[in-house]
Amino acid sequence: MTKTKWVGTDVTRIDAKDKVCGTLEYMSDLSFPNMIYGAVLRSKYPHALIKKIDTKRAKELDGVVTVLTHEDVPGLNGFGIAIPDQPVLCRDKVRYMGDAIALVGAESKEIAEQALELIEVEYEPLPIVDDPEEAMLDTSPLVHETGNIHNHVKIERGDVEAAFNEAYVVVENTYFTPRQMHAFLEPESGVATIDDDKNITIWCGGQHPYRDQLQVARALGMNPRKIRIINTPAGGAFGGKDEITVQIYLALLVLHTDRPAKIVLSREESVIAGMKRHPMKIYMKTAAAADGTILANEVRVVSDTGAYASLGGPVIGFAIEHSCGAYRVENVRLEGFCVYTNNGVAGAFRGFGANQVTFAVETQVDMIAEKLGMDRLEIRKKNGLRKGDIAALGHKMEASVGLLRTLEAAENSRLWQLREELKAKPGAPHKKRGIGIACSFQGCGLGKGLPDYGAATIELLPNGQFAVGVSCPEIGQGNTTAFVQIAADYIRCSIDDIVMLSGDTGHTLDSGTSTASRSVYTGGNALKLAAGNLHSAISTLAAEILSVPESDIDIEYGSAVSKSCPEKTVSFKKIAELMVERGKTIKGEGYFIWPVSETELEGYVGIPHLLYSYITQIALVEVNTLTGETEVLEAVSVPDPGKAINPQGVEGQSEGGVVMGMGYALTEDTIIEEGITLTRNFSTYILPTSLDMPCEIETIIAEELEPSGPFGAKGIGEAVCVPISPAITNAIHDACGVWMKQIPATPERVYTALKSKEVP
Amino acid sequence: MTGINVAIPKSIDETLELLEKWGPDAAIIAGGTDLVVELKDKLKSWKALIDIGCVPEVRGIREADSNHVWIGAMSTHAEIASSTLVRDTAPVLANACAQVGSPQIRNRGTIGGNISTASPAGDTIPALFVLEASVEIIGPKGTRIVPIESFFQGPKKSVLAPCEMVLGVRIPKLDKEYISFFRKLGQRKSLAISIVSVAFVAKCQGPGLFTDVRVAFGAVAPTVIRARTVENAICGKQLDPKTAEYVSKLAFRDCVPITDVRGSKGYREQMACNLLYEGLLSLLSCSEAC
Ligand SMILES: Cc1cc2nc3c(=O)[nH]c(=O)nc-3n(C[C@H](O)[C@H](O)[C@H](O)COP(=O)(O)OP(=O)(O)OC[C@H]3O[C@@H](n4cnc5c(N)ncnc54)[C@H](O)[C@@H]3O)c2cc1C
Repeated sequence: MTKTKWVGTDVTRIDAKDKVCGTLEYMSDLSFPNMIYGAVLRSKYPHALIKKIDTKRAKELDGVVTVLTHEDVPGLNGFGIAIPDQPVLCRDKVRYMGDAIALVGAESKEIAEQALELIEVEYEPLPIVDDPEEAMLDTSPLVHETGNIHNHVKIERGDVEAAFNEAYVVVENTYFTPRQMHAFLEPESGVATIDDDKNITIWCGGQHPYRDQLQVARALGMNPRKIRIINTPAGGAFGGKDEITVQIYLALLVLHTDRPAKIVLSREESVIAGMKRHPMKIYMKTAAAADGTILANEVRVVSDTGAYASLGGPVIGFAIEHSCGAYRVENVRLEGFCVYTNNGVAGAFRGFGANQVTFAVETQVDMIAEKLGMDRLEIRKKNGLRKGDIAALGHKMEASVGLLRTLEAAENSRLWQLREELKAKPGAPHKKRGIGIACSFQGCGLGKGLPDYGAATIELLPNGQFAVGVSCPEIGQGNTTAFVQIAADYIRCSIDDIVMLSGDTGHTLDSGTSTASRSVYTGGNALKLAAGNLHSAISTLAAEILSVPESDIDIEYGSAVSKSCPEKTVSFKKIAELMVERGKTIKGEGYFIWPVSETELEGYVGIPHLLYSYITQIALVEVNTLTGETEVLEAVSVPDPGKAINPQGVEGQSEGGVVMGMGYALTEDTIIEEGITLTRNFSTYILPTSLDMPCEIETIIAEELEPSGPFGAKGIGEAVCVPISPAITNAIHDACGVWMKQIPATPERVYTALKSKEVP
Repeated sequence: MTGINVAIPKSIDETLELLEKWGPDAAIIAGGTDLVVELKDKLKSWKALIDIGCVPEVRGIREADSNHVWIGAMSTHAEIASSTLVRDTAPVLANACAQVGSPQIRNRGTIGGNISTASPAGDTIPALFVLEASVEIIGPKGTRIVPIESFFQGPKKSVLAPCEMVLGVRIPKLDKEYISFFRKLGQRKSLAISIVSVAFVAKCQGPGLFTDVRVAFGAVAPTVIRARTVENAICGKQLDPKTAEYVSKLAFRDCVPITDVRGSKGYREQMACNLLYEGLLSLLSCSEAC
């Protein structure tokens, strides 16, 4: 491996100062002169026909600049990453409470909101379907004319029946997982401007500026080049800003008014209209031999994508791919349904379907271990994937596989080693302590069959610094800092000499999304290629300056040197000066295409993956048996990110992931009944607070270098929030003997489980 | 949007004048932690708000006389939780105030606001119940004193007439022989509205032996309630962990909870019993102290 100066070291995040000092603007802070404020009229019913929309009274209100409806959408009245089935502004039908019907632009936010109340919409309510299994029945009301089953995945390998028959133990359960909310700091928001030539610029929280550009252009019927998207880092995303949120509304407002416009969703509107994690019902039957070898797994998943598809299709595929855990299982029958309902829309969310199935399969594995009297870590080591193994979908694990490394590091952690001692001292006699462990893998990249590519630019600036462009936006995970480190080591310069550009279609080439644990691997690889091209350009000029042949030029940190005559050197700064003098530019572009698995699953896209990150996590909990309250006292998180470009960054992801997975396991759920959201904001949607944090989260990085990755890196943004949830529920079982098959494991659910254990 | 008038009176007389002038179109705003939520959610609308932050008569925590502590309505939860006087003579209230919301909410939210909102889940209220506090109300016709138990008429309903306001609460001091606890069960450790809360005060006559027992529950009935069945069952009995468990089970008899998004009726009933039991257990394990 190349020697590095920056990669692998704890580098201060490049956005740290701006964030700490508050100079990095939220969208709500960004304003332009003469700007109008937008507000969206949402549906009054979860399912209804629209008979009439009358905007006359709203238009007459003083201070209202424009009121737009479906008639004012010049291009395609639809958006959606996979299929554009969600109307920008509904014409004849609404399918959930978040559906948009009209858009107001006004002199102030208050006037815009007042105008919404003056828009008259005549509805004819339709019967609703709020349960995905019911939605699959022929008798169910149709959310979309095409049928309620949006996607169906079915994979069979081996002989499941035979395996169940010969198995020593079989465990069979049904699991339920909640509709987790991204709960980013700033809800979906943005600001847009338009110039005299009708060029539109949109600043917004987002995760793929070029796809935003495409979706906006499509809805406006406009050349994408006339639309510039700048995804800004403040506010966070977690997958919830992967889909279009406010971009098209902003574009429509500026197009129709020729004035800058701003939209900031309230938390309540975000809760109703925004994306969530897919709630899933998971049936799982798992068989094992007496020695703990997992023989077969039968899985049926029904996933509620709500009123529109967004990424629900790929999410169910991903869930199925990960539904046997990070284990070798030869006989599988896996089936998944992604179903439309009149509930809120579910889409991408950190983990992308792995969270739900990992909760199920990691509980199954613990149950099997219990039945066999086997150690919970041993059973995982025994079945865990190794390089060259065949995974559940029949695909070979060709890339780096660090599962065993993470399990072994977890085994050696203080928490695991001292577990009996730590469990023995609960806070009171009615409090019970337990420890839980779980592991998982996480496909990186978009998977087989989806175009997955990256591009990067590096340009020598007149002052000797380098402008580095990778479009994958910073959404808080620290990828831009990693890009700077990677670029500095490939260019061979100081990180202080890098000017990082990202998230902006105006200044960067399309590198795809900041999702799927993919941006560091993608951007890093594109940067490697770009740096190679940059070095050629530098060498040409350096050779001229040093009067040596180009082939004699070597690049060292900060300068070009003659190989044959090492005293002949010229600094990048000097090269930059001469570049300017001679009216030249020195730059390199790099285009990278993801490698994919050899296995082709006919009829499916997005599965399987080639590259996975791996992780093992441990939780120590204390359960109050009188109330059912669960406290996570300590956690250990052992990720395999490949090379940790910025170890401190990995720790940050790891700690944040643990808490996000803890919220998923214990408290978080967006409750929707009959299409109506009951948990309207953070008063009843229960996020963990600082007091709910474990006292200690230890992160142990277990690097299994990936040869195809930049300096050996894979990705780690998602895996960190996945196995911690079943580690916690497994710890609850270890503490007080109840299996939690439904999360969140709220105090009431744990207490009820405890009670039903007492009285069988 | 039409604006909202905010008046900042400098005295109680001025406040009363404003209340009479505006009538039901105005609301008092203290910390605003309940009221602003209602405004934002458009649950209510007023033409004017009367900010009582600068009214000296509703401020302060002091000894009213040798037997009583007086807490001005405008006292914040943070002030009450850290007051030595309250911690010495009514620790159960200090304890309850310390568990309200978060530091920000405790710095803004007031005891007057907590009482006037009249939520069955208001955290100071069970403590005030077991302290047998009284509410000092002032209105156009002068002041009146209402025992805390008579103040509430239902969820968000109290005996406060439109032009009246809460001046403060009067609390009989507890001497050193009294022990107490306040415990709330929330959905998380802070920023949690009580699923059930319990306040307990009793005179400790020896390990496990309590008299003058007072138990109040929050969030298990339309208003906070005193649980007299359980009080009688504990009073004068020699308790050990077993009997404590037994008597705690009587708590549900005084509870008529509802099911909502935070918890079911059945869970609330059981939690009333169990929180009391848990509290008694901790008292038993440290009642050597009394
Ligand atoms: C995030 C959050 C968390 C919270 N957590 C808790 C909690 O854990 N426990 C809890 O009990 N509460 C909680 N609350 C509710 C609230 O903070 C408390 O009830 C607080 O004590 C209200 O006091 P205030 O001064 O802010 O009242 P305000 O909002 O100013 O007023 C509330 C009501 O009382 C009236 N009022 C205020 N003062 C008087 C007076 N002197 N005389 C007559 N009427 C008056 C007002 O007109 C209004 O109707 C929470 C609120 C929020 C927003």
